[in-house]
Amino acid sequence: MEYLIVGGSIAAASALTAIRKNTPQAEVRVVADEPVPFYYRPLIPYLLDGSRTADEILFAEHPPTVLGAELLHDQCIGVESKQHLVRLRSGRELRYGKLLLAAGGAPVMLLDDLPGAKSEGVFALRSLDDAVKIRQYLLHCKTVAIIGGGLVGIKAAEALFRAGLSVTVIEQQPHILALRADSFAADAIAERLRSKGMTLLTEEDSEEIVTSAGKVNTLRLASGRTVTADMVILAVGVKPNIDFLKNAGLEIEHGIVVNQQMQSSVPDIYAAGDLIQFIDQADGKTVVSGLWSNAVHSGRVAGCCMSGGRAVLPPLLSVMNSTEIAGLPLLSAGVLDDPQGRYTVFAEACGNSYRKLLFDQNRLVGMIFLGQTERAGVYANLIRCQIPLEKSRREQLVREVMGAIKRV
Amino acid sequence: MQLIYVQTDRCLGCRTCEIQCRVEHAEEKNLFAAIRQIHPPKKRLFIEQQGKVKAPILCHHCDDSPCMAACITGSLYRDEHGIVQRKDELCIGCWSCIMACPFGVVARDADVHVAVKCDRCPDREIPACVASCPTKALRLVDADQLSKERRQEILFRGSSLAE
Amino acid sequence: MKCSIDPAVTEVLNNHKGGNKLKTAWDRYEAQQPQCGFGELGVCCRHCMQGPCRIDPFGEGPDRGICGATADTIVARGVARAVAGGTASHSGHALHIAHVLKKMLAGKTPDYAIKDEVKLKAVAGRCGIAIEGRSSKEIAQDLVEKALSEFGDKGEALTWAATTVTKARLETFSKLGIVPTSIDGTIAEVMHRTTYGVDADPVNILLGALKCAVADYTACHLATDLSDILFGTPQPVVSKANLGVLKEDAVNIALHGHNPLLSDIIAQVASEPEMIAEAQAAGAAGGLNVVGICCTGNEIMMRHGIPLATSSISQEVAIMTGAIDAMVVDYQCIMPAIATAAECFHTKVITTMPIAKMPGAEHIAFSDENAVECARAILRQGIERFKSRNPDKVCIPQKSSTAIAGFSAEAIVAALAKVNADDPLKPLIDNIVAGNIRGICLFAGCNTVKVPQDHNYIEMVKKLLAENVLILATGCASSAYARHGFMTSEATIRYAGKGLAAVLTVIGEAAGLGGPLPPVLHMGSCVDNPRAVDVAVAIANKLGVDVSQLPVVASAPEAVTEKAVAIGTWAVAGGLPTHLGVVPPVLGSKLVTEVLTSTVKDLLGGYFIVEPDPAKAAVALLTVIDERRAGLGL
Ligand SMILES: Cc1cc2nc3c(=O)[nH]c(=O)nc-3n(C[C@H](O)[C@H](O)[C@H](O)COP(=O)(O)OP(=O)(O)OC[C@H]3O[C@@H](n4cnc5c(N)ncnc54)[C@H](O)[C@@H]3O)c2cc1C
Ligand code: SF4
Ligand code: SF4
Ligand code: SF4
Repeated sequence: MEYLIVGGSIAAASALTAIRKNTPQAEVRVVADEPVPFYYRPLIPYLLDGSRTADEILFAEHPPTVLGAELLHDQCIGVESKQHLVRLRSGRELRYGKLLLAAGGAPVMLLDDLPGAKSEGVFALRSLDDAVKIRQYLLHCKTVAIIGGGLVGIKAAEALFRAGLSVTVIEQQPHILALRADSFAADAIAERLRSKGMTLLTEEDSEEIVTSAGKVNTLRLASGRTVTADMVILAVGVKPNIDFLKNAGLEIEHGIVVNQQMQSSVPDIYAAGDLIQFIDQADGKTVVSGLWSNAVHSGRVAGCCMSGGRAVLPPLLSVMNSTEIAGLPLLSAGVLDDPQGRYTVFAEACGNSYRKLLFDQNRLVGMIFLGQTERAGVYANLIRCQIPLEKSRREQLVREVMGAIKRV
Repeated sequence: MQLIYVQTDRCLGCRTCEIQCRVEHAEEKNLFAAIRQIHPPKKRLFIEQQGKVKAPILCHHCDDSPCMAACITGSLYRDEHGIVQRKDELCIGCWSCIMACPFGVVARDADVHVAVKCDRCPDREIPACVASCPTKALRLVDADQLSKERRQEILFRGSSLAE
Repeated sequence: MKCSIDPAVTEVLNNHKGGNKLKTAWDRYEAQQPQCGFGELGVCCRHCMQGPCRIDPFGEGPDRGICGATADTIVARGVARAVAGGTASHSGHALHIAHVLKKMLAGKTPDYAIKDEVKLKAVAGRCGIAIEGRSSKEIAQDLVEKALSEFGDKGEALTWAATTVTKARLETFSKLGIVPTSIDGTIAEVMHRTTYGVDADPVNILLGALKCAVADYTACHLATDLSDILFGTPQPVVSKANLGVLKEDAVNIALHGHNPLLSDIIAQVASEPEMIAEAQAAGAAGGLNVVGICCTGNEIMMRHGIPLATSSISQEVAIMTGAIDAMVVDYQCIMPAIATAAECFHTKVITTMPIAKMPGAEHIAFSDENAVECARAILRQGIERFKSRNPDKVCIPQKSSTAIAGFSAEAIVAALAKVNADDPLKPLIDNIVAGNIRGICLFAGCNTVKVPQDHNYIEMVKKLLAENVLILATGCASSAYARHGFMTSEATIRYAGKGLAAVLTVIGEAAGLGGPLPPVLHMGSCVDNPRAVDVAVAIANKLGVDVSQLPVVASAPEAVTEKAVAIGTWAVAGGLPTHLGVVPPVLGSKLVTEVLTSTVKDLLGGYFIVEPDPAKAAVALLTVIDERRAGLGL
């Protein structure tokens, strides 16, 4: 049996590890289109201010080498599922016994919607390569505008701020971190970022990137406001990397549809990582996510099932994030807000910490811990596994994080 | 693989294990010096109480550990003894592992901005918590041996019922 | 684990015949490891039933007890209660003697008598009791009433405190409000102020502890004085120390504990020919061999020359020689473990005091009204027991050292008087001034499992002697130096620095010892520590300074008991920099630690130096001695 993996990141590495557990000998090929694959993608912001070098964020052990797989630096441009064949940009065609699609996500570039988006000085931040390029470019810059106040935008903003640039973040929504926090937590964080000297503009739309001599110069907003910027970072979102699968016959909605074993609708094709869709345990909605741990779990399950093992995808959430912003830990999972008043919500702010729990009847469906991390995993796990909770247990969960935390 | 087995009915909640865990992870492995450390060492297990039951909660060094899966820097890894370990120099303090551990036993060392978790006391044969428990509520046992003990226990119960 | 550096103790630990079930304090210490960190730091409180409460020493968990007490309050309360515990022991010891003295005067205890009239008069005179033209009995009558009044509420400063310290010291005590007016009342006061919801101010509590320590000093001094009156003031006497003093062919009776009321009588009775004959009749050709353990050992060694077998921490080891037929105990520092150890041998453990019984021991109530008969009955138990001694289980190490004991303050002055009869203190002071005696260090306290037995004592004394520091020793410190041969003329030659050796030689020769005085002077049991104060106070008065200015320091390098805490605390109150070689349970409070090791210095001149490393401790004490010399312009 020949295994082929498309993608050179964490879902691919997790799958490869799992395959090797089951079949130490089988032939495995990995097709990856990045010049240097297999690195810790979430660390790329640390390249911007030089706090880490590219070498320092590579996986300690290069998976193809240690696990014995052939790595092809190429790009997959099509899948002929009937023939069990993929076509590569180099013109090569590869046969596969089982195929794993682990191509992750790609940043939304607004190329058609935002005039000037193709100019020199406009970047996305998704790959190591992007980060290296930004790092080189920023040496000639004083100001940067970041379009999008989500996690990647804010991470980039912090790194560029540390690198000495004057930073403006433009967010369409009323508050930053729309997917990771509620307005209270987001405002608390925004407050701290602003007090450090960053400019955050909310409810602002970008209209045009104005250039001078071909290079980015100013960002013009829909409100008429202008932001001087020697560089623009586009951080408006990520979409699954599925364009090359148009003719493969796979069932695709938000992302690739897979079952609990990561099998797509087409025999012998599996998928894992940022490009699959799954059911968010917190609210039952079908979603795609951009979470490292989801890529690990789905990659592991896919690898295991492809190579004859048995595994099922553990319950997943599309929001299960932890990060530190402006010196404050922000841990959030599940449903973060309740505009329709569907849930029972407990929230408490005290000094720099803020905690919020959302219950849907007898289940915990959401949490935000800001400034405080203790036992967050216990709560996140209750959300992820949708464990029914008795009244006393629910009361206790609330008591433990709100006000007096009772430990022996 | 060896496990730390907790007999909850024996725990008195004296927190000796917590203190000794800290001391074991202090610069000088000595209590008097440890409390004077500028950044006091953090504990890696937690005495919790639920009703009348008190028990130390500590890392299970899970298979498919959620914390490792969540670690976005490669700081968490499994060593040759099956122990989930952390490399200080890689940890960026994103707290993803804290969010992922269903047992709540990864802690944040805000002083030095790294996560801390049980490392099974690499400098000792018997972990500090196990060695220190005055009531032997914590035991270091072989996983297979433990299952065998449990089977024997059940057999014993069965045979005494039969009598 | 290294248990002891005493070769005799080590030999018995390695070769005893008690079987491997026999466990000693060192085994139990190991079994206790690691010990509770909260306890080690003094941050747990059980003073009320809402507790126990513990303060997180790492500052993450609770910083207050349920009542709101902070680590500072809890630690201070613990210190105060330890001082009160120690004071209660010494109070009990002293009161016991006073009662016997009173009964004796009433003719109810015929076996006791006033043995030292000179001391009686000296003490009475100091206490303001008329002496001229009065009989000893009359004087003693007044004195015992005075003594008894120290325990109840006197309504004024305690006599034994006020008349035995320098004037300046008494003023300092008054200013700080730490002059006790009752020994037992002060103990009660500490218990009161440390109970639920009374004193929460850590500094105020520590002042209470200091006051209680002064009461402890009073009780100790009183006990020493009355013991000397009843049993004689110690004079230099040559004896032997260590387990080698046990005899294979004799009935070995070990006397263990503290109060001479019991041991002195037994010591007397044991030399009666009838008793010796009884022992021989039982098959012990060597007759009766009484030996001492712990402070009882010191009491009977310095008054009767009876050899000392071992010190407190190795009390079980004495039994493990298999050669002790009866171990007779009164109170304090008696480990319940001796009864268990005795089970492995033929040894009979005999308790004698109504407040100190022990499972597994035989209790023979000691009646002071019938003391000699009681003593005989106890000795007979030992003789009887000898018959069942199993020679195969006997392991007597052939190791003992000569020891000159019995340097009471009076004895020291007497020896000095041989050099200068008109002004006995002059030679001492001159030599201090000249630097031949760089300073004086009082070693006191116990032996602990926390360091190999005697290790700290010996390491420190070698360094200090070489630096010409004269050493005084009491309690198990004197036992350590006696067992290791530091109480001999040879030790002076071997260990003392040139200047010190020269002085000791002059005094020794003048006193007719035929050699130098020992470099470590045996001043008695632990209750006798005030003897050292008397010497210091005499020097201070002569120089017109306070004790807190003298190059005199104290050290308890292997301290164990609450009594040691009390004594250490009054040594500090008395103006002595006092070294502790074992970390006391106070580090959980930065404030209390700071007060005891530093702030108190400004108030009283004395302070604690906590240093487990004996080499560093010796250096620290030398530094202080030099500081004080410099202060005096020396
Ligand atoms: C700046 C930043 C910060 C982040 N922080 C966090 C965080 O804190 N926590 C968290 O959980 N997640 C975070 N993420 C998200 C996380 O990195 C992703 O969820 C994770 O990398 C997904 O892994 P994957 O293997 O599915 O896909 P990807 O990591 O996207 O990898 C896909 C790989 O496939 C390659 N590829 C794509 N198409 C093809 C093709 N046609 N042929 C060949 N190769 C192809 C790509 O080049 C890439 O190497 C962050 C992401 C970024 C960019
Ligand atoms: S030391 Fe033992 S009894 Fe004490 S808290 Fe820990 S596990 Fe419980
Ligand atoms: S830290 Fe938590 S998740 Fe990680 S191995 Fe230990 S118990 Fe499992
Ligand atoms: S094994 Fe070691 S590191 Fe782990 S909880 Fe116990 S003492 Fe702490």
